[in-house]
Amino acid sequence: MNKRILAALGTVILGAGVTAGIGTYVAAAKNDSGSIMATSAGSFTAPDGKTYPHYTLTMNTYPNSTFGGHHGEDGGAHPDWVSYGAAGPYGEPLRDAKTGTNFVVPAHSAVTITIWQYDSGETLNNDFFAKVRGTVGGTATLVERYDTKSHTNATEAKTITQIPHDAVGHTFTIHGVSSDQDSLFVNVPLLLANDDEVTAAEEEGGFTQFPSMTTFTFITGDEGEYIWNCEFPCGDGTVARFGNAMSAMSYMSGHFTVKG
Amino acid sequence: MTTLMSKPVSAPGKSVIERLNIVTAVVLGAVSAFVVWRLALQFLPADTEVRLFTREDKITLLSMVAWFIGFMTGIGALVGPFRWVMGKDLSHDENMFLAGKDMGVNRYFRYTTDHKVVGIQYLVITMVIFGIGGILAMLIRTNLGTPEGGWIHPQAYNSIVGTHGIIMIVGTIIMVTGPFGNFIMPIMIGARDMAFPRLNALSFWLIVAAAIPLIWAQFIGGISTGWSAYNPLAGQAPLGMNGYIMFICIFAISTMVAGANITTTIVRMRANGMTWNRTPIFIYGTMASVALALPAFPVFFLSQVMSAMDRALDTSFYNTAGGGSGWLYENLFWIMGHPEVYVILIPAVAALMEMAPVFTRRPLFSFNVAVMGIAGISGLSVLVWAHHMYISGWAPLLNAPFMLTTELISIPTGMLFLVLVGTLWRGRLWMTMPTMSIFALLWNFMIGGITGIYLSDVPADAFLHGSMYVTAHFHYTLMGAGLTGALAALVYWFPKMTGRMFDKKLSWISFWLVQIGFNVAFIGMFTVGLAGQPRRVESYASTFNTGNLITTIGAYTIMVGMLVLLHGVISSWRSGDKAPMNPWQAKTLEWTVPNPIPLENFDVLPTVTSDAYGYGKAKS
Repeated sequence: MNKRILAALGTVILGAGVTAGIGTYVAAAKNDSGSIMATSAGSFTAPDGKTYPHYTLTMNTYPNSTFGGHHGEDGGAHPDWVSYGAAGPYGEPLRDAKTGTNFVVPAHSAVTITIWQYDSGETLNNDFFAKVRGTVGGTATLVERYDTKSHTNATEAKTITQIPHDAVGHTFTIHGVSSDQDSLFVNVPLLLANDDEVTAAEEEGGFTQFPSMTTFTFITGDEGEYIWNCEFPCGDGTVARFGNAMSAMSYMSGHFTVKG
Repeated sequence: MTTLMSKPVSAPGKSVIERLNIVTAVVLGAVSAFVVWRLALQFLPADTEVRLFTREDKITLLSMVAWFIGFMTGIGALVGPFRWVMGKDLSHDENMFLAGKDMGVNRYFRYTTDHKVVGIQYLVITMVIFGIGGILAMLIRTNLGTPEGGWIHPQAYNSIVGTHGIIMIVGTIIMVTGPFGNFIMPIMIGARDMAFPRLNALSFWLIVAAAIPLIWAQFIGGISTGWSAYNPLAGQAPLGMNGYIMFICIFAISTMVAGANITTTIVRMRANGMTWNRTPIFIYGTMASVALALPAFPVFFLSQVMSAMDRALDTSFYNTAGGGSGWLYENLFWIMGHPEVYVILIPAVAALMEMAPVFTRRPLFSFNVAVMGIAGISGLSVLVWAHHMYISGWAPLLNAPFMLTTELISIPTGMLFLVLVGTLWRGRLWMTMPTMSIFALLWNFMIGGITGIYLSDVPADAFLHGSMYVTAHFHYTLMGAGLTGALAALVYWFPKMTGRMFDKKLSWISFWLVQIGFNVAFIGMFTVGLAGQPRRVESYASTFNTGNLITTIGAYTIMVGMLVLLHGVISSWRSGDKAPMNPWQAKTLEWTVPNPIPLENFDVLPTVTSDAYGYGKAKS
């Protein structure tokens, strides 16, 4: 082959290599936490009598990122940002967890999610998200005060279809883009924890002993890629408080993957 | 006495001018930025209320301003003004030093005033800009190769899209008037240099100074707003937005300075006998471009100053809650933004009109129509900006007038088409890469222009606005037409700028790869845009997958073509065939000077007695 053409080919390969190298660096720098696989929990019989394989997920919402987990030991780049995080079976922070806000659940299954809400809250912009939607029976189970020391309900569990719009701490909202995959929309409002207790615990470098606890179940369809996020405007300062933690993956949003 | 005089005199130390170069500039800029950053951290009071960014914005902006001042001082931009203020202007020898006389390759790394050096500096920085912008484009297209995206973090993706946009806009603004407007234009009009040589160097080094804040921005939150940086979104964006603001402010100054310099040079320094009827069409294109930039970029500059004040000083120019208006920003931005399209296009088309007679060996078809076309586009281009705002809700009653002015601009644009087609018609075609580029421009610009008519139409725009269709349209104009003209100009004037011929085979390979890849890429983008895919998205519905995959394949083909071109530039510059004085047998003045070109271009300034297109009349 002509020497000049070979040299040109070398430039192309070198250029493609530089591009690939930069791309690999940028892709690696995204620091996306890995995925949490749902845990198998036997079977679940829906109100219509159908039986599904049953899976569970547990997670917490925090007023800041100092719990560590997927953000790292010191809370990562933004220790003061609100964040979701992986939880133990009794709502305890998993400080060494490497994964945080991406979840994988099986297709055609019942998925039960329990969320402990350690953060306080204010008023929703849109009352729509104060209602429970897309869950089995259109309901969720709420424990307003859960004692994380004794692992018991400090208040009685009750079934809810909505909570007052001015008592919302965060929401857990799954939705997908318009496509040919099965639609999946789930919205559950999370009751705020007591503001004074949250503040007092934060000042001591911890989290309130009495978060609210919300449990709900929904049925998955075919495989699909979805995202979830909080719809409560908690990312102070930007874009009507939907910036910062609200617009950053691995804080108040993540991927929700349904796999066969 | 005699003994005293014969004593060896110790070699005088280097003067300040001799000591300054890009190294001193970078060092002084970095030190200044660091010092100001530390001082600001130490002494700037905390904000009185809980606000995000304000103090940090102040610190970031002050540090960037310190970088700018330090860099420009370190490169030597302030020596001349300082000496003038002190009443002791530069001596002849110092001016010769600044002009780069006998300086060898070092002159390219100094505040050199020779227009040929500045032209080469512009050429290199344009290539660097396109290289960086191209890499970012490849990251975007790779991420969009599959519907679910996710290869790059969505926030990084947003920043990459914004940075790609603004860096490519800047690259295309300077790609013709920078290298060729500086190197070729003064010789083409028979001048020894630009009207204001120091301003010429200033305009180039301002761009280098501007680059750092843009790079800086990538590490402090990026540019998450897209290249247009609409407010109030930009006012709420991360600290990286300050990098964008500083970049635009400095670049706008550079463009204003260059605009004033080039316009003055063309108006005042044309050779004896070079009446306006004998002035080459490329000169008209260059002057129209920079003259358009003159009123446009001060507005852009001010829009960013106000943006910075909203962020750092808590003003409310664009904040509705404080009495401001986001529409104000949109108006200011597009008052610059749409003329800017023609700042890019006109010189590129004019360069091809300059080449058309050379490679068809016949006069430019209807020179007067060409001039009228350029004037018509220039005049109308300042009256069309609000077609970007049809669906923003601002002044709906003005939609119809802006639709009219936008559609009217097709007429002078059609005149330029007519001139090119008329020149090609029955010409004795000399098939070179620049010749084929004329055909490529006609094809690409036709698609870009016709698709633009739909966007100028209010009802159609309501559907197409914000879609990939828009992205494909403006790539067809800025890249398909603008960049095609610039690459042809590179090959055409390469022999005069470097003294070497551009490798013919590589120019052809590159041409076909780029043009085929380009049309594959952006036809694919049109299809997904028409189907409804919004622009600036990191993932998309799977129904758009095929079109996006085709676009990504086309983009990779463009990359290969551009890398072949890059190799062609480097290898031809280093070891290409030595160029004769006038390899194309062209008739404009730049081909009458020898290679390498003397410092002051002409021993005796030429006198022009005819136009530059006296190739005889083809039978037509």
